[in-house]
Amino acid sequence: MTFLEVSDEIIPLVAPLRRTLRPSVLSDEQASVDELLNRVARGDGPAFELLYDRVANSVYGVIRRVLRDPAQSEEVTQEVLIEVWRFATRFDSERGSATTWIHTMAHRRAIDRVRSAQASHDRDEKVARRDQVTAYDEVAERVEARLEQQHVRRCLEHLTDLQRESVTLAYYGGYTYREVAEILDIPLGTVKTRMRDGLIRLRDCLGVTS
Amino acid sequence: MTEPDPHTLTGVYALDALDSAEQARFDEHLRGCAACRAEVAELTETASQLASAAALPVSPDVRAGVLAAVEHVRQVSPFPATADLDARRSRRWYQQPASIAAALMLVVSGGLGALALDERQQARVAEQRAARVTAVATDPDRLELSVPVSTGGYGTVVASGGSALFRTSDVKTLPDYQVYQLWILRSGSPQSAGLLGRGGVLEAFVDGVRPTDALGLTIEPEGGSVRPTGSLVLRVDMA
Repeated sequence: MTFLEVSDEIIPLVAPLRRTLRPSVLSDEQASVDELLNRVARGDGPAFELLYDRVANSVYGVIRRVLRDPAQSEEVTQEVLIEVWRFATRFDSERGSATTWIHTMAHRRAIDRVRSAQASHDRDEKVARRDQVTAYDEVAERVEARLEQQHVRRCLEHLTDLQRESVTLAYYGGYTYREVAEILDIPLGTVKTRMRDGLIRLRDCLGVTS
Repeated sequence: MTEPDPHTLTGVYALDALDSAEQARFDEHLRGCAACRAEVAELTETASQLASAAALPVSPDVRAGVLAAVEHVRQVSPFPATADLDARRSRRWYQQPASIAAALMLVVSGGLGALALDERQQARVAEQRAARVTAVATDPDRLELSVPVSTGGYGTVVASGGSALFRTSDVKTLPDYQVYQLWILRSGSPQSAGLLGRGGVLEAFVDGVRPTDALGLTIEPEGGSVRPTGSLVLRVDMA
């Protein structure tokens, strides 16, 4: 039994229909990221361009949040998007959405970079980075946000301070939860539950279903 | 420290915020915990929206670069290679790129904090590493060195073009508060090349190795160290 196989009993009836019918009925603009990725998996170059335009900004955005350096972030963005093309054949919609698959790839790649580069950094450096995370938040605030972005940010505001800080230091700062505990000076167990509770509250606010 | 209740780590996991040793343990736990897998899936979808919220305009150069690149990039097969596993079995370990890459996956990405959610994702990551592993293993000019591990057994390095495959024989099992950690020993600034586990056959794929470097294996406290603190049980000079 593997990850998310729970839905096996329902999906097989629906998925083949969706795969064959929806891409042809919907125009390119209406095609979902999932549908585009399925077309990309069949080597569809134009679908990849459309997919690129849908996801590139969030891929770049999350990588930039973690790495901060624009040039390095562009480089990693490029690597991730080439991997999306290469590995589209392995995407399985029963295991999660295409957007999440791509974002997870991007986030992990950024984390890879930051943790390997950070191996020798000391704690002072970490604290400095935390301040930069905050500074970058403020810059990002000024960028005109799409409705979806505003929605996520509003939901983040519904978290307690500790939940929000734990979640954003980990996700945007790229810290391990041990580092977050150290930075916020709270026990490890507290960080764990704040991260989980924070995400659950965020999920409920955003109405995520999987 | 006592083992934390793994059920509570779903949020940390979804945020990619576990360190490598814990990540490996939690992956193990996920295999047997359907409720945890479901929760991780939901929380990962939620974390993904934090990426959407961070969207920033990316330079058109990146678009041009990606679109130009994919013209020359072949897509992988939808099925992870397993059919010719028997044929591979007779080859030497470093000539079995897919299998070693699969084994290395935990080490390589785990050491850097990003771990696969499940077998299929593991296969994906393995595939990505496989090409680089193959390049090292098939380079006719590769460097091959074996040296003893001071606590028993030996370690082998196969290196080419700045990348190195590292593998030991079955080494002594450490107590659960310790871990083997691999280092790139460079004068003045040793760099961690990942936590390799507590015993058995240790494997790693290391990038960014210079001819003047050495690889070193130390015994560190659980969770690893920022700099080598424990005894050096193996050292391989790359030159």
